[in-house]
Amino acid sequence: MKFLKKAGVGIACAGLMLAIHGSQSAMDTRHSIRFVDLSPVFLPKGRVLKACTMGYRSAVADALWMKSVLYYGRRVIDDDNPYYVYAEKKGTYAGEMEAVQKRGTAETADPVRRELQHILNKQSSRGLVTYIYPLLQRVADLDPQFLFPYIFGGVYVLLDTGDINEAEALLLKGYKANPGAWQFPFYLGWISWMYRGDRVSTYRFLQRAIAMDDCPSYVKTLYTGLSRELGKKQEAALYLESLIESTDNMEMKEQLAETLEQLRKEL
Amino acid sequence: MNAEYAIEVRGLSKIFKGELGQKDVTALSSLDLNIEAGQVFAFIGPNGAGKTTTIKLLTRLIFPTTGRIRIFGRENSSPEAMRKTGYLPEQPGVYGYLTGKEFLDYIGRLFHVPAALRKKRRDMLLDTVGIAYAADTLVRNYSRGMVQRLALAQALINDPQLLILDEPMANLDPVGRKDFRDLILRLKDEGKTIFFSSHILSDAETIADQVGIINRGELMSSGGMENLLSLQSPEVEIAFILPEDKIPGLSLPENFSTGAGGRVRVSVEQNNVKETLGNIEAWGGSLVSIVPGSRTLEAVFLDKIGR
Amino acid sequence: MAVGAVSLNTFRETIRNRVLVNILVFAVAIIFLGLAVGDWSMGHQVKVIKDFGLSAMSLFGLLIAVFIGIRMVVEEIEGRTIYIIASKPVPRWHIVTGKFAGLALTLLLNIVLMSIALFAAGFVMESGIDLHLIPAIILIYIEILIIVSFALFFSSFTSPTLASLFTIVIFIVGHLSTFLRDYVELYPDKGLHWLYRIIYYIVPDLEKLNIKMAAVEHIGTNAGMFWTAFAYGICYMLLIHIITVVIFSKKDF
Repeated sequence: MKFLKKAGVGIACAGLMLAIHGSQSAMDTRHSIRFVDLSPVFLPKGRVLKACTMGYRSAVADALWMKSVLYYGRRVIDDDNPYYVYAEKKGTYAGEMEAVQKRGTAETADPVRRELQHILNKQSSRGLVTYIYPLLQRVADLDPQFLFPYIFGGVYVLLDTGDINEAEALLLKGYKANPGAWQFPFYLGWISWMYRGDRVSTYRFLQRAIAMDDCPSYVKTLYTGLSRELGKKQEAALYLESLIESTDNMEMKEQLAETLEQLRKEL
Repeated sequence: MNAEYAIEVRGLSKIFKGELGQKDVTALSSLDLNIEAGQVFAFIGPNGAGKTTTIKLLTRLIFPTTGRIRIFGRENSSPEAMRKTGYLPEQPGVYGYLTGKEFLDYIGRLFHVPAALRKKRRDMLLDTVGIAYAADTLVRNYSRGMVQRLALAQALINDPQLLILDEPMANLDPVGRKDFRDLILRLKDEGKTIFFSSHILSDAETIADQVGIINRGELMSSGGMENLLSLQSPEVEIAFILPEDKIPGLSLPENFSTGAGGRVRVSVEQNNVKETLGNIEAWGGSLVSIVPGSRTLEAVFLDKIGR
Repeated sequence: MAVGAVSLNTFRETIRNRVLVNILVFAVAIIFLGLAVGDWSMGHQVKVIKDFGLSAMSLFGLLIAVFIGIRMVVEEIEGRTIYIIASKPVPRWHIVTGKFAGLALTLLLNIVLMSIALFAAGFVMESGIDLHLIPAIILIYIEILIIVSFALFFSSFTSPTLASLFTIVIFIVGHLSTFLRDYVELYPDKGLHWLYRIIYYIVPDLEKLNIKMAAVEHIGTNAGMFWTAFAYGICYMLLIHIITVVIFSKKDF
């Protein structure tokens, strides 16, 4: 009788643990797609956010940064991504997909540039990252000297979303907070050149970058190369090469290298 | 002020301020007390009379509203006075995370007792109070009685001239209480002064030389135990047996109380004892006992506090 | 001096109450973070470990400061051990200061061990010890000591619940101080200025002791600023402690 009682308790506990594990796994997939994504929008901005973190700002910034990375990663449109597969089955992304397609990108009149933009703009592979910029803005608010999030949003995410205004705003914010960092005018130059077709601004930005103490030599090489006006595709390749060299981050390097290869096929 | 007195108190009063609209409480009003060195003084009173308040004032745990206290001629706040004093509080607390040995050692340090002497006294005291077997056990595993003994040991670690004890026998079993009474008397023989409060009157009666009775913050009476108890000539209780069949015919006075088997008891004044014994013989009775009554402390106490 | 005896006893109390187990928790968490965080931060795990490590050091230290600091005084009174201690020829300020010093010693040990764990993790990840973290760690310790002094201060005259609450409020307002100042400047309403000024002078500006971000990013940990912040923290702690001593000395037990 005693043994039965003990066995009963054991079975009940095991059953409960299985139920807990099962429900948790189910909620994880569902939860991360729908709810987690929206939560950063409800976080306060700027100084209020800084005040709320009360002395643990850098840790909160890092936590938000990691959240941004996870958010971005889970939104990859790829049949290997279980989050995407689940969402597609449930039609969770339908609304966002529509909105993104409707928005499109500002097409330039210049046919060459338009072509380049088509190569660069991988909207078809990602782009469901509606809330990435609000997340990155908050990371920047909390830790203005943490450079990589600016670059991530200003260059890497831009390749996928084509959201020029947001990318530029983020980089300008970083530039304001870190006036001595050569990276910002360098990447802002990229945006001016590639996405806005504004050569004059590009030169101005690159000059500022070069003037800074620790600016690497390939930026100067780039500047010289662009000034020679070799043709938009050549210049694009040149810029992409320096972009690849400017970052240590493997994902960014890979992404840019892929783009460069595609571009070289066209040349 | 006399240096022969172990404790001298003049005009001591304590008013506790009422909190948030509550009235002030006068715990002690204008207490005067002298306790000679080498005496055992019992401070007795009902609950809330002011015993603990007085003791806390003596030991500087609370501060007087008015009045002065001197211990062996010095202000009680002076280091010299405090070094000569040992104190055992009511329901004492001891650090649970220390062993008995460590606790005594710590208290010894607070008295700046040198290390070698401290060790010697510590071991001796643990033995004296009967908890040497638990010296290395954590205090949190001690019983209430063991804690009380340890607390007594700490009161003696500095070999004080004056011992102040607040309800010292409260947590002890009968054996413990006997040991304690013996210890007090031994300490008295060593010339120490002992001031203790109690509401166990029989204990006070057994060991105290002097008694102070306090009620509602006022000292009702103070003086030698003998004096207090012999305030009126005591009666004598006589018990005897009469043949049962004879009792109805004798018409004994009312103060003779009869019981089963012909037993009779009566209390008579000292001067009437002889006459009563004669009567018993005349009635053919046989004497069982003659017990001289003495006035108990309890009777004095209840009388003084008006009950 | 009795301060030494009291502080050693307090130190022994905290050690025997196994407070230092929190260091184990810290060490395990750091190791876990080190393993997991690489991918999540896109290669910035060193920064993350340092940020989280410093923040955890601060947070654990603060929790110990508040809860143990308050419990120390409360237990002394409720456990009735204060009657034995305060009746000894020990000035009351020795008792309070001894308790403070004992807890400060425990917290110092806590921080040193945590720092070693953090440096070890950093050593494994970037093959070097980042000495820039040391000024930040020192100021974290000073901040914790300020909170300890407030914990002792409040517990010397209020209940443990209120004391915990007030101490935590001091911590929160201390970190919001700069924010409040900026906010109030936006509103020229005189009333608020006065209120702000009162709060600003009573409550320590704990943000001045927060250089975690600067330390991790190796930005201008200016020696002058460090020493000024250090002196500010020490003076504040001493001031609150002195007030606590005064209250404690006059207290009826």
